[in-house]
Amino acid sequence: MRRSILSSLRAHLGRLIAACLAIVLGVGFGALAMTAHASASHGVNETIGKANAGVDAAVTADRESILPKQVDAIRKLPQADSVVVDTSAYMQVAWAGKVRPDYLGIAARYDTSRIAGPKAIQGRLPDSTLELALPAKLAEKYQVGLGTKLTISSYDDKRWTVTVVGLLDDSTTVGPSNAVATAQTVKVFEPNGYINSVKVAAKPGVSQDALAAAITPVIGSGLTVYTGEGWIQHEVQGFTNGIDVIGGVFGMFALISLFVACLVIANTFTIVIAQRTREMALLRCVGASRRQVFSSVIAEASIVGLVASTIGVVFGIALSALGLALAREFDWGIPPVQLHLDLASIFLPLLLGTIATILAAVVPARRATRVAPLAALRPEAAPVAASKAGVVRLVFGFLLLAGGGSLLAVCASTNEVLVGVGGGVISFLGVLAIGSLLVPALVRLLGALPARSGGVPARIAVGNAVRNPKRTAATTSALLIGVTLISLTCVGIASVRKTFDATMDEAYPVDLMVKAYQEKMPASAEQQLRDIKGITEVVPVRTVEVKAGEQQLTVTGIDQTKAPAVVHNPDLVGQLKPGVALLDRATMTTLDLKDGADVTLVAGQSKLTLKAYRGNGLESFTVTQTDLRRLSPNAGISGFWLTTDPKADGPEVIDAVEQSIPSVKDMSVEGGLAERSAYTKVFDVLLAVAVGLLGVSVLIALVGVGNTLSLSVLERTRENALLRAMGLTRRQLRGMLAIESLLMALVAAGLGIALGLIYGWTGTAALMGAQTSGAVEYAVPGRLLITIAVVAAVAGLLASVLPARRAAKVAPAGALATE
Amino acid sequence: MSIQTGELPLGRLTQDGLPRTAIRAHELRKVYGQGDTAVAALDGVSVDFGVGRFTAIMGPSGSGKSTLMHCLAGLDTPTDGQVLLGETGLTRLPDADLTRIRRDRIGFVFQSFNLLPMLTAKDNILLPLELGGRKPDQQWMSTLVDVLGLGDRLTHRPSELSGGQQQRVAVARALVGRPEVVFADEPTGNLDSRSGAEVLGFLRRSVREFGQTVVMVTHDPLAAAYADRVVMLADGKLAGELLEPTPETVLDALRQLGA
Ligand SMILES: Nc1ncnc2c1ncn2[C@@H]1O[C@H](COP(=O)(O)OP(=O)(O)O)[C@@H](O)[C@H]1O
Ligand SMILES: [Mg+2]
Repeated sequence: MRRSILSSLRAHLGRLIAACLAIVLGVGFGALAMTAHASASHGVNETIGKANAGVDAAVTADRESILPKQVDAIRKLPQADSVVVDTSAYMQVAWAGKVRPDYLGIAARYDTSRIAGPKAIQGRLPDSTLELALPAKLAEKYQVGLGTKLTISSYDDKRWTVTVVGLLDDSTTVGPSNAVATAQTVKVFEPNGYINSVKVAAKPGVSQDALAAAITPVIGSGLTVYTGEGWIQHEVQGFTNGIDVIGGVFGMFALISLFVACLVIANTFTIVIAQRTREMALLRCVGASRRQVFSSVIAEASIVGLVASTIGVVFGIALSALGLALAREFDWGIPPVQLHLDLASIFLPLLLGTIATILAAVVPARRATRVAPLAALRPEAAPVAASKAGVVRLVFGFLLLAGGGSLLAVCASTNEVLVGVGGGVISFLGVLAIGSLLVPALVRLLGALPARSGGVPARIAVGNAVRNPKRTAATTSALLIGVTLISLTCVGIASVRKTFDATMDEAYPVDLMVKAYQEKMPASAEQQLRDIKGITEVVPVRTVEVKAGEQQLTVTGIDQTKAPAVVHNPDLVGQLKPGVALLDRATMTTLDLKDGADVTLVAGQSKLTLKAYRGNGLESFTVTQTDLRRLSPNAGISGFWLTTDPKADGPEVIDAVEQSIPSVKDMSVEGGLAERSAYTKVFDVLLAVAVGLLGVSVLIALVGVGNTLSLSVLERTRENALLRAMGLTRRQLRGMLAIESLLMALVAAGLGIALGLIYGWTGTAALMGAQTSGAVEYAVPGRLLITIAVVAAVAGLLASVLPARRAAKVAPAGALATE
Repeated sequence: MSIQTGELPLGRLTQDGLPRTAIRAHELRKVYGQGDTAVAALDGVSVDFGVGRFTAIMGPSGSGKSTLMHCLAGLDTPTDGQVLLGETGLTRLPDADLTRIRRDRIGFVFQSFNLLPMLTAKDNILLPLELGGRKPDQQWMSTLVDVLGLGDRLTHRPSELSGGQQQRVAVARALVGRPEVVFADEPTGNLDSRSGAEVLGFLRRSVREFGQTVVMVTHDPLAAAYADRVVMLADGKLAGELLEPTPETVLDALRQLGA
């Protein structure tokens, strides 16, 4: 038996290659995800371990600062050797070339004889007042070197000039890191400095537990004490939680692509076995038992699965090594991580890939055992694989579809996300189960047009595509899964985003509000702002200081005819009329006003009574320009409200606005743009990652389409030869296969996009319904969806290229051969 | 020259009263394999097939009958020599031209697997015409369907037809485009004797009544007796011919070849 398995493997190697490719991709993807995850966790462990070397105990405050007397109590402990305090000041720095100062955290230097601390990679750490060491990346960004003098100011506008004496190693930190100054300097900058944590090194012979136990009673309540190891674990967890979530998402996508690979493999084995019916029958004739036939197929699958999975693992690890090397080489804003291999990330994908292949082969193997020995003696060539869709399966499929669908609908209206996902999965399984009915029907529908106008080849292509409903359904379902998931992700993210946009417009109706405090805006200010790329509307606002009763207030006025251009909330715009003031909640409370109450303002000689209403997201007290003029006819322009191009890069626009109008010393830039671009970025990244990951499963599915086609081509060798003998040109033959492939791809894409819309919308309703009290917006990301359809169509055409070339090579005389 | 319905455009005779040639092989050689393993399936065959004649090609198994037919029909290219279909030399033509010639000027009946399983009988019959974008001649089509007794079978698929019916559909397909030559390779090889006799009868009728040219490969003396002429092949060479054959004369000739 073993010899027969090996030789049949060798004989059918070509046909199995495509199935192998699917496994390699699925397993490779899994290995890549797991290796990257293991490397990242390992890297975090090492980095945090190094950063906290020498810490035997740590004390942190939950909310308030740790008190100096608590630190002193720890210092007095006989078990404590070195006690260091983590405290910092938050200051403004004027960088050369920047119009207005920036914020910078400055940490106090501490004794690093026992406990690890910041290290200088250039120059030295500060030892006297008015010296500073900067993080190397920051220094590079602002082109600051050793010896540079910087002006530091506090929030109450005290100023110091400090000298940069060193650059800190920040190669393993993510995001901004602190500068370092001596403890005295930090105390000068920020006399009421906040103590975040205290780290303690033990005297020799004192264990970490003993030290922590000694600290706990002397510091009183309200603080948390960790042992050194506990502290490192706590810190690591903060990072790895995020890594684990990302790892989990990757793992889920890897499982999806493995599942798709399974479908492709099962399909391939079914076809290969259908083609080998006579071979199987002959084996049975010469005395092989059903069991032997079954295990020979399973053995074949195990070998294929193991070999392909091994290649996949090697491929995945190589890719992650490459990715990490590239990330180290080019600064991608992620900390450099070394490749770290653990047993799980090698053997788990290997095992899963092999098991998946074997599972996928079980049904085809059972079918192989049903081949009657007599089939070997029948003269007809290549019997077609069984193609009647099982009635049980169809009924079951419809039940799943109906049950899952109603569950999904109920959950969408009651915001039960998890159960809803379950309903979605169940109904999708239903769709897959009735695929052998649904897909051929759709192919026929879609094929009606080419069949009518495209002549015989097109008609034959449509006929071929629906000839074996089960096979067509299985082939398209692999693609269907990928397309459905991608489109549901696109639709879901677009809908969530649209819903967010609507709520954002309520919370932050103005993109950017630029405001000068003590000074007037120069005449050129408006033009300066208009010249910034990404700014589409600029509307000036004026302010006047008024009194309302005893309260001193700043009233902002805007021309109500221009307000709609910059205020994205139509309700607010509608409310803003002469005689009306829009107040934020805090001002309403301070003035003790109810909605619609009268408020009287006094500015010098002028007096004005307005009706006060709540208006979120504008200035604290906003009126029309007409009313403002009544209070102060000559009020100058003190600020601008801006609208930005939604496609522009938010942070860049904000940066440019902050750097504009240099003659104004004290200027603030606020508004919804910062938030909006932050979440826009999150959505963009989410979308890109999800689409990229799911793209792998689409790729696998297309391998499956090509695979089915090339197997069908083999099966139809004589038909194709006959057609060629009858006068079908090579080009027509290739076109025929292209149409067949295109039909399958388009049906999968169309059905997938339709399902994606349904699932995306119901998902958004379930997810967002509660937060927005039902005001969920449903988006149709048309361009994305069309792109998906086009990609699927093009890929479908590509998938037909190789099989079509093989088909066109068939000699027309082949039809006359009797085999 | 008046053309009756169903009559081929070419008469049997030239203006000079000589028999016209539908297809001609000149010094055909076909070698399979290379070096030591090379087999000359055809070794210098020159033969003419007259217009409106029914010619059978006979010979022992492996004598090169099928190879000759493939080369004549543009399904295969000879290693050496010429094939002339009417005035057209086939041997140097590129695949696309050969394909067009097969589609428009040649008809085929194969031993088995003649029909596409997913097309109805009617679609199968019209296949070569539709591939070439030609309109079928309705009258000719209905004549063929009547003569072949396929009237109630046109909407059936091949799997719903008996072997004999399938072969008759194949004959209708071969004839519907009024090709210059119809080639048949063992057309009765898979049929019982009654169905075989029917198919052979139709082929002969198409020659007698419609002036069709038919070239048929067979190893069955009874089948060969339906032809006007039998061409004998042995070891890839011409080994004589018979005119107005009967089963007995054919058997005799075969026995002589064997001796
Ligand atoms: N494709 C091929 N490759 C190699 N040899 C072939 C091929 N086709 C035919 N032959 C050889 O050519 C010879 C003639 O074959 P064929 O024309 O099929 O004979 P017939 O039809 O008279 O039985 C035989 O010896 C056969 O083995
Ligand atoms: Mg033969």
